[in-house]
Amino acid sequence: MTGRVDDGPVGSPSLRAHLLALADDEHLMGQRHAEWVGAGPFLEEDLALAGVGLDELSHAAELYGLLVGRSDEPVDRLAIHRSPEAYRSCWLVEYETAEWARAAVRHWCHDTAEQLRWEQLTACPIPEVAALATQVLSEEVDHRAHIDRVLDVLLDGAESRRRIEFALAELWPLAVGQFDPVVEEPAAVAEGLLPASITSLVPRWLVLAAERFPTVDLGRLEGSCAPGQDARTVRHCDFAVVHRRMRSVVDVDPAARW
Amino acid sequence: MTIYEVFLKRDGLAEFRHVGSIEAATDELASVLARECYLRRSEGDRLWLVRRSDVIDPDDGVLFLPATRARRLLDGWDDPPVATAPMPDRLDPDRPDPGRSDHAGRSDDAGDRDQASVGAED
Repeated sequence: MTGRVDDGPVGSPSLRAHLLALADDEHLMGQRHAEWVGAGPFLEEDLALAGVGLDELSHAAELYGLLVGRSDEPVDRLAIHRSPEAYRSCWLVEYETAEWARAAVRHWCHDTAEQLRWEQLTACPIPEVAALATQVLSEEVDHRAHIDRVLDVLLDGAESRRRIEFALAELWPLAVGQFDPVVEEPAAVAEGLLPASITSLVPRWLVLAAERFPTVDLGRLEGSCAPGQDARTVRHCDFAVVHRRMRSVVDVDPAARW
Repeated sequence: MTIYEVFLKRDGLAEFRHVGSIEAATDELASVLARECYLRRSEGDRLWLVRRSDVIDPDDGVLFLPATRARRLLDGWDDPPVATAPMPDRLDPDRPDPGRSDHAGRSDDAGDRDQASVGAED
């Protein structure tokens, strides 16, 4: 963790670790969505995905801002200048894909999971965290509407449905891995800052998945997880490239003010 | 895929204006994409999507005024064209406007009366 505990509204190290994992997920998801700018299946989708990605980056920035608080530490140092092992993102958002079916499935998996995770935070006793959660949830409605309308179309055609279902089966372990908590999470629950572990959200998420993908035998997929990410402490093999790219412009002149 | 024409209305008093078009597979997806493409910065508070195939596009016979109906132009009745005459150019500055001198005269008279009444009060 970075930042001193008395810098901002979030003093508890355990809650800070929990929020950092959520921020890193939002950040990496925003970066991955942005990769589709100019490469989307058609112009309108290109623009829509860029808009969704921008929102995710903004949500990450808001969370990083809460963690940095009033300290002099720039948000960028937390967002892009940490060493890879200090990140707490999950493998679903670190994973790189240039295939539209996988990108669409990931979009849905991420947005539905983060909905449940942010809903937990609306009950947080720290007002700044609860207020941010309420704000983010109001914006996320549009993200889910977007990907749901896309999947409505793709699941309606034989070939596109086959590709979506294949992508879902492939990404399933990573998708479930979103509910992998940080090691500090039990303390946050014990302190009353989190109502429950994010692992407890999995059954509700499975209901959403069953409604969204009615032709997929989710029971066959259940039980698999992403064991390699080890409570989010291990980076996916695709992380290094995106991490380097995030810093590529800033590193040209580290002292520059933006 | 279907092409939709996109219309936005800015506020309660503004009219719907055509802002562009989008391509989408369903009406629902078109709504979501139109918002992302044309309403990202709250450019309007109402949105219409019209399938381009539903737009009625009349032929030239509807669009152009026959020369014999030049009476409908703003130039009025004072210089009615004959049936075989070409369409008058509505933008021709040299075209005489018979009503103009009368109007100007009445306007000047009224102005004089106003001046006189102001002076009387003084």
